[in-house]
Amino acid sequence: MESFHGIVGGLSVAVLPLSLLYTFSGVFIGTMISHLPGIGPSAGIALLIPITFGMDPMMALMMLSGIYYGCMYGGAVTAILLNMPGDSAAVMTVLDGYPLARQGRAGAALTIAAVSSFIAGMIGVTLLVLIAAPLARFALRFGPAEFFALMLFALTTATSLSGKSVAKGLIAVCLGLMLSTIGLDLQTGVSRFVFGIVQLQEGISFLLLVVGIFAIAEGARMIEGTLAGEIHTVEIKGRLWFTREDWRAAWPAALRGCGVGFTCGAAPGLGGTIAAMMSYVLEKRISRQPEKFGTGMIQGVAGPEASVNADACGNFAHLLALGIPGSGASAVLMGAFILFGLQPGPMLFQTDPALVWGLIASMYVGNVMLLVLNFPLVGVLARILYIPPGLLTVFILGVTSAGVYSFRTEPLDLLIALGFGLMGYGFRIVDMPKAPLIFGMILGPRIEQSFRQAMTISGGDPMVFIRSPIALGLLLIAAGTLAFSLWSKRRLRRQAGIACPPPAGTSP
Amino acid sequence: MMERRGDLALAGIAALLALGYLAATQWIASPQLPDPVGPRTFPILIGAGMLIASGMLFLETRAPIDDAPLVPEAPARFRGSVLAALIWTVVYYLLFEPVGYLPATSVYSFGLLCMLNRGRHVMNVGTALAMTGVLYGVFVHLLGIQLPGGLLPG
Repeated sequence: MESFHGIVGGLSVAVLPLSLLYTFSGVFIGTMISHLPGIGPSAGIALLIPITFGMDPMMALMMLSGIYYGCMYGGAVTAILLNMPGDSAAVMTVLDGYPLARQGRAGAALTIAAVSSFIAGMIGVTLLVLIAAPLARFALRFGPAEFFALMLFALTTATSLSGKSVAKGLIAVCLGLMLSTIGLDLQTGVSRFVFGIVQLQEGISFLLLVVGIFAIAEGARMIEGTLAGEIHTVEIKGRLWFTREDWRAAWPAALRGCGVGFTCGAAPGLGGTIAAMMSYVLEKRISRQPEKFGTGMIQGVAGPEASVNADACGNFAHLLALGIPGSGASAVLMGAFILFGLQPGPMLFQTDPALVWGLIASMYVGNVMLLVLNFPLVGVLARILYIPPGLLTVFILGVTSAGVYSFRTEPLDLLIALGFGLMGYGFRIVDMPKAPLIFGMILGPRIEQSFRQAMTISGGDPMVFIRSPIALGLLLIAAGTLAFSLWSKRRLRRQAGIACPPPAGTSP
Repeated sequence: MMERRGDLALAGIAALLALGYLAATQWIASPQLPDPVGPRTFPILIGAGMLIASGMLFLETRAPIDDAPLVPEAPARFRGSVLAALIWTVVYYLLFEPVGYLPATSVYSFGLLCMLNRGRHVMNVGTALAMTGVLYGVFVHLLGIQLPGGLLPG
């Protein structure tokens, strides 16, 4: 009942002209960003956060959330037309979407992707409405020990499941935690790791990290890609419609994808890429023609696309109810909440229900807007692909620089963001995942606070973390996830080693 | 083999960073407050975690792996250009405030466009000026965000 009243109230806010304008701006920008190969929702949100300073927090968050799920919607466009996913979550769409486009059925693939995304978006938001408030109520029972265990679990999942190496994920998460400790210790007022630099007393802004590691690093990648001639424009061919047979095959796949996606999204750290992979594998397994997957099966587009969008809704469930991000993009979004002085989590439902429900309701509106943008208008909007990549690169760096400077009008911030950009570029070279870094940075202050509060309450007894059944359960799941991930990745490496033995004369 | 060397270097850097970070925790003051943990414990745990992670990565590099490059090799040829763009960006950021947003960004954008859009100087000048003007208009007049005036009067 609380959810019903909440969403009705939220809808009354979401349909106000200003809310509609900001939601539309968000989904439109998200759609545009998703059409640029390689620029995912994290970079998109990071790029736009500085522009939202001074805006009403609810409007700004409606816009930034719109960018997030708008990106998820539109990621299929480049996957289908360019054989290049707009973001990593659209990677599975490439497998059957591009072959469909080569068969002259790009229109069918694009519209099925849009409709599947719409179905998943609407069902996903409804599931979000149903579980967010009860989840937040449950989380109100959590004390510092339980929150510490929950955040450790989120960090472990993000570490274990992103990238090919658990060790690299751990390094990234530790680096994020290290960055979060720079500045004044909020409990004692003691300076940590500032090395006499006054500007570091306030700590390193999350904004500088995300802008650097995503937007500036993306600029560097685009410079390489442009010079190498890898990023180039293409022509859209084919009719923008699907057949009755396509629809018959696609809608059950979309529904299954929705279930897979929301479940993955509700588990912190899994992310849209894993949701899409699981959905694709499921479709292939239950298909009567599994051998045809990869040659242009419409289910191979519908399932993963639906799962990616439902995953985003699942991410919002624990972002809003528990204050735990589920993916790199939702961690960036959580950073935006914090920059606006809002702490996502169970208390937000008590202190600012209008914002929470207004934001959730705006997703219904945004989904309808996205269907219009991605269905009849996809041919028009995809023309962004024709903009010379060099110009886009300069535009991204221009917006980034002005945005970073406007944050505190502090020139040092520009150099710090550039440093993070260099770090993000390095991450790509050594194949290190960025999401755990963001998780570490964003959850660092809260995890430390919970740790210290729990230890203070227990008088310094670390057994406090295993006395609570909830905390113990979460810690065991975290340990299990880490152990399983280490085992499975080691097995994969061994298999790869057997398939590709080292050259003679080299030690194993 | 390249990946393995990169991972070894990464493990070394991570270990050095962890040791430096752990050493720096000794400079954190410990005030006499009723806090059984204090401001130093959590950073020590993080430093230890980083050290363990670097050790794990070192062990991973000793395991047999598929040596297929994870990052496409083609763009590696252009890393020099990225370095040039990086230096150009550092110069831009250093001059951002004293020179002002409009002149600094126009020149910076023109320089980058010359690298990415070679031989089209007239188009590049026009694009750099137009894009800088549009961004300035959006930030200053539409969003009310102040950008440095620098050398320009007013």
